[in-house]
Formats: sequence, C-alpha cells, structure tokens
Amino acid sequence: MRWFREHTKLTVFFSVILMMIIIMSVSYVRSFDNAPPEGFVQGVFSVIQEPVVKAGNGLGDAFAGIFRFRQITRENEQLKGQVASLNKEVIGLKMSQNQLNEFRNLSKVLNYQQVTQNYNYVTGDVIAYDGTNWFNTFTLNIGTKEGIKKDAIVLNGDGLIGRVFETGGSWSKVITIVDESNSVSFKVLRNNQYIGIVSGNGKGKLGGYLLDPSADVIIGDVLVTSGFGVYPEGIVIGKVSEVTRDTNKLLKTVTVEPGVYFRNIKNAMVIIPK
Amino acid sequence: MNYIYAFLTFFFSFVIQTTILRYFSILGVVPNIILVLVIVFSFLFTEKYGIVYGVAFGLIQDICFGKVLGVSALVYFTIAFFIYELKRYLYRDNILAIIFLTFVFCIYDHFVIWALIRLYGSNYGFLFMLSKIPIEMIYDIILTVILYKAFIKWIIRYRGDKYLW
Repeated sequence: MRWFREHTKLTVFFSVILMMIIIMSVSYVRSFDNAPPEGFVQGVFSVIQEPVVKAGNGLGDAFAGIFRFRQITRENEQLKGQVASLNKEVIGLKMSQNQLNEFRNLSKVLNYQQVTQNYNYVTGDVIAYDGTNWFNTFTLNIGTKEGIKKDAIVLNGDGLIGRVFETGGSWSKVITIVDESNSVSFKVLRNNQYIGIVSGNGKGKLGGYLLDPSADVIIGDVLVTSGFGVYPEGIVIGKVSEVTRDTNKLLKTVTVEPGVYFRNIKNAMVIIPK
Repeated sequence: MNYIYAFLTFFFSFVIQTTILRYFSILGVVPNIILVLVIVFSFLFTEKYGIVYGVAFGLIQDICFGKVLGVSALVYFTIAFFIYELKRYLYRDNILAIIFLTFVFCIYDHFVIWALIRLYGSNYGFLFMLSKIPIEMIYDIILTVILYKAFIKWIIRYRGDKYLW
C-alpha cells in the first residue's frame, strides 16, 4: 500500500489502463445493445449532429452547383438521353409485369409458397459520419421505432452498403461490407452459374474466391448477391478489379471494387424482413 | 481557459469531426481534430484538460462509432499522460516542440489503434494502415500549428501577476 501512495502517478496511469482494458474486453464479449448510458449518449449526439449534417450537405450541394455547372449541364444532357431509353424499357417491363402478376395469381390459386416479396424497405438520412480514417461507419436517423433490428441489411441505389450493428430509438449504426470479415455470397451477373464468396480484405476493398476454379470471370464483371444466407438476392456488390488463379490451392481469387462510394453516402435504405 | 471552455472546444470539434469535416478531406483522408486538441491542451495547459477530455471524448467517439468501447479513450489517455511527463523537457514557446509531438503521437495513435483492433478480431491490413499515415500527419500538423497559435494567447505567462491579463 505504501508503494502505491508514494507512486501516485504510476498507480493512476496503470489503473486507468487496466480499467480501459476491462471495458474493452467486456464490450467485446457482450455488445451493449440499447444499454441505457450508451443509448442516451448516442441519442443526445444524434439530436445535435442531424441539423449540422443537413446544413453541411445543403451548403456543399450549393457550392458544388456553383463550381461545376458545366459538368452538371453535360450530365443533364446525358441523363435526358438515358431517361428516354429507360422509358422505353419501362413500357416493355410493364407488359411483362402484367404477365408476372397473372402468374402470381395462378400460383396463389395453386397454393404455392411465395419466396420473394418478403421484405419491407425503410429509408433514412445519414446524421453522422465516423470522423476517423479507419472505418466507414455512419449513423442513420431511423431506428427501432421504424422496426429496424440488429443485422438488418443496408443498401442504396448503387448497391450493397452493409448491415446495422447497433440500433436504438431513432438511430442505427451501420458498418460497411469492406470493414467486416463476414462473408457475402455472390453470383456473377453475366452468368448466374458462377458463384463465390467475398469479404472485406482489410485494404478498403473486397476479396474472395469462386467456388468453381474454372469459371471464366473477367475484370469488370458485376457481382450481385446470390440469395444464400442473410442477403436477399440481386443486390449489386461491385465490379471485379482483379482476378488471380492460385494454382496451389486450386482457387480463383477475385478483388472487388464496391459499387458504393462509402465516404459520400447521404441516405440509405434498410431492409426489414416481414 | 477553464474546464467549461475546454469542454465546449472539445464538444464543437467533435460535432464538426463527425458531420462536415468530410468536405475538407484530401484523397478521402480527414485530420483527427480530437487527437490534435488532446496534444495541444496537454502541452499548453498545466490543468488536466487533455487527460480528462481525452478520455471523455475518446469514450464518446467509441460509443458513437466503435465496435469495441475504450480503444480511442485508451490512446488519448496515454498520449495526454506522456505529454504531461515529457513537457518538462520541452520548451513551451517553441512551436517545433509541439510539431515534433504531433509527428510522434500521430504514428503512435495509428500503431496502437491498429494493434488493438487486430487484437479484437478485425483483419485490417498493416500496409493499408501505413499508407494512410502521411497525409493525415501533414493535415494534423497544419491543424496543430493553427490551434497552437490560437490557444497560446490563453496562457498566463507569469502565474504570479494574474491581474495583468
């Protein structure tokens, strides 16, 4: 005891470090979902962060509009062309949608169990970004009030973003697919036969392999979720940026550039199973 | 400067860090304002702002974004502690001293956080981590110089005659 009294500084230093290590280990072993202090801090900060982010986004958009008006006019022309061609496609698809509905009615008559259409979507705005360069975590302004649960899938128009790893009253924290080592099973959009698995490779991209080593996957192939596991079928994951054949392991490995640019997300959609 | 002003400084910095800072990113890299504040406050002031708010805002940062609580809090605490110990060997009016500290502790911050998140199950690449250090360090040093210039005015140079200020 006397030693501790004589070395107050060292005692404080090591006791605080010990306390932190205990906190880290405990929070690692069991995650505090909706634990009162954590939920409270998160709630308070989300109230403050939301208007600041909105104001920042507004200002950013305004400045971007001023400085890049040439680019925007060009983009506008391109988009008009795209709209025209898409409209044609929509008409074609509407006709096949009618056919599909007829088939659905028939399957109902036959008492066939539906596999698809089992999801609800909730859209939310991003209210805070992880300010560090380590991960791409962000917070959405929707939570358990909207029916979001832990591990719900998050996506936007460009593709798969990740999953909700913690949620509370009106906030949920999202972790992206590149930051995790959890696997996503994919299939190649060009040929549904080729399936495989990708996960975050710790270098800001996705890495994985194909189940069939002889599958001919090329750079630029678009990968979508295969529907096995937790992810619903047909969400874009990204584009293949590198293909290597490992002759020792008899595996074809791929590096994938995610379809979403994670640093610039303003809103996202969360899938809730019905 | 008292504890309330120091708290407000940290608080606004945290809000800026998590909301609009990404508009000022270079190649997708943003500076770490909380780290810079911990270094500047620990270096300039004899009161324990650096340690107290380093731990507090480290914990808040972990609560808001981390998967494991206490990683940033531990790093900020050790940085503040080391600076309080190193301070007696460094000359406070010399700006090179604090630039040196930012240089050292920016590397320290990256290595310790990397080691801890690897320990708790991430597969974060070592070279990927190293590749992010240079830009953030330059950014942090610029920020350190700005904040140092701003906060050096708050210091009472001769503690005896406080009525002078």
